[in-house]
Amino acid sequence: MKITDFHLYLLKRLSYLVLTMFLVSAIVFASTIILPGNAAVLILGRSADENSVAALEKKLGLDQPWYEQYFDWVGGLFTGDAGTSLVRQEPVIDIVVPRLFTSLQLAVFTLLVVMVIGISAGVLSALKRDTIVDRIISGVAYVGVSLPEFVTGTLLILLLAGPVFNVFPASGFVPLSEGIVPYLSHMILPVATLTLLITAYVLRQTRTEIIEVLQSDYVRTARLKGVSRRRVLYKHVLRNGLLPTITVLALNFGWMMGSLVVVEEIFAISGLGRLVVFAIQNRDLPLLQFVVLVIAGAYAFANLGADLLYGYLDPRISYGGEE
Amino acid sequence: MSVETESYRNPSISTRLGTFAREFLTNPVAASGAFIVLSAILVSVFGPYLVTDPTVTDPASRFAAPSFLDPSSSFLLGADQYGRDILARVIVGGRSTILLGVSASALGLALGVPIGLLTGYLGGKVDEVVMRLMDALMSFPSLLLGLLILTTLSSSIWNAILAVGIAYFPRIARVVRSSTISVKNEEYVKAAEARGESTVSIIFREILPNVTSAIIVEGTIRVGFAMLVGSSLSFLGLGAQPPAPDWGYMVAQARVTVYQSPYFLLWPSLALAYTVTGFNLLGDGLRDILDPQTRSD
Repeated sequence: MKITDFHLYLLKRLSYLVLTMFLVSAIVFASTIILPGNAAVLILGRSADENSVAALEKKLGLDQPWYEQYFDWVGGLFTGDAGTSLVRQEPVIDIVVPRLFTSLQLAVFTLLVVMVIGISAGVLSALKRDTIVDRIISGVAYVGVSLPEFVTGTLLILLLAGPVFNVFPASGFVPLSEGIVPYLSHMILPVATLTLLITAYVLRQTRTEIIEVLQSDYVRTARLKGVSRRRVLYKHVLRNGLLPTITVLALNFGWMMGSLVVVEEIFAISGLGRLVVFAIQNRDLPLLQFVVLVIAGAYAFANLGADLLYGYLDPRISYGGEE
Repeated sequence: MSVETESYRNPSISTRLGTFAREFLTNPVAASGAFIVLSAILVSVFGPYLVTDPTVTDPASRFAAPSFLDPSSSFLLGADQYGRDILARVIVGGRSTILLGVSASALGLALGVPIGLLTGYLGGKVDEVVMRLMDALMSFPSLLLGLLILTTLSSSIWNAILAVGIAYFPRIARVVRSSTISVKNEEYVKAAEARGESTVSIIFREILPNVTSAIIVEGTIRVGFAMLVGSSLSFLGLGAQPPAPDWGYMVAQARVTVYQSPYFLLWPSLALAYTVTGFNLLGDGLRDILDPQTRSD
């Protein structure tokens, strides 16, 4: 296989990813260990006496110099040992993995819905540019972006899981193994909440790109050659106009993994986001460090994926020069 | 030729302001955004002086009072479970939420703008190293970074501002850096270099005035985002602390009693959505006027 600019670019991006993850681990570690309020004090409370703090520090290895603690921790990560939860007394990996799976399902499900709604609404408003349809779609999207998920989520619960229409369960998560109907009905409200928040970005991107393609020379040429409207739309407009949208979707996936905290709190879904809040509230530092690292890793991977997908799909991008 | 470039670059300040004002007022997005933002700021700055009820910020002074009051002439939007006037709390709450958004964005600019200018102008090794650090900070979703910072510090509105400001400055640095790169090879920068001006002077006198559009747009849009992240932190109990009226915290509290009285939830939510929409519209409008190349459509 020939080594192309793309391969070099890939190699460069992967080495950046390694570097970034290293820096992320350093930041996570620093913010939980070095900054004011050391772990033992956080666990025991500010009024704890010195002897018990010292005893706990020794037990947690906090009496070691910080660089030894850091290398112990990173070394452990490479051997599959991310430490033991202070509260649950289990390996943190065993706690994190099933919850990662739950959060991933939520994110992937949302992404599919956003893709369908965002792209079709975006194409529609591009085709109906500057008409009343376009304006209504833009208006709804604008409000969706401006409402935080704790507001839309609670309003959805109030409307669809409360005294008005009691259609969906207000909280919880049911694995697919317990049946498709309970699985979906628990999934609908959280997915709808996230969809309201994210769709606008996908919609706007799609609309902008489609409008640009519609005005391009090759679409005009195709129309003049007598190709039917429908065929031009499918063969030229959509194929070229949806490339950047894929990038936006991948970026949103990363964003979602980091922002599930609020939605999981509202709907009482035991995913990674809620685990972060649990770890914070219980001062469970080994758990917190690992969850944050996993989320930041997922986010970094999604961003890398977005860049690579875009480069792979759009042959106009060259990787030769700098920036 | 040189006279022409000079006059193109620096039309008199009053002409530029005049053009800007005309475009601003005729741009429906910018004008409506400005109206919303201005009204929200005026209400939260002067509104609290009209509120005389001490229980708004001190629930302890009225524990025995009637609670869950329906709207009436003395409580226009009703009263919550402690008998506190909802309207007054929404008005006073605007102060902390808007303050958080504006200050966090300002902090982000204070940190991000100099870094973006320096890395963009200097390039090379400095740029590589600093931008890798920014990338690492950006691999934390902003809400998560905010949570992490607030865990190590303590929960308060000031620490929330600090957390959101730190979460956003790498993004601002990135935007300013790319604007800087796009102007650093312009003739007037080369001329200043040829005159032997110092790096600091070139950055602040030649480059900064030409990237202000990008800075203003980014700073405005960040206010809306910062308000959302900040109120999410308050919603999770890590930002503004009770009994302070803060929109995010008010929604969290209203959720508990949502079935007794759904309206407690509605008013702070509407206030938040109104203000955030205003900042988003203002930012988008400013982008259209100041920076036509990056126009969204």
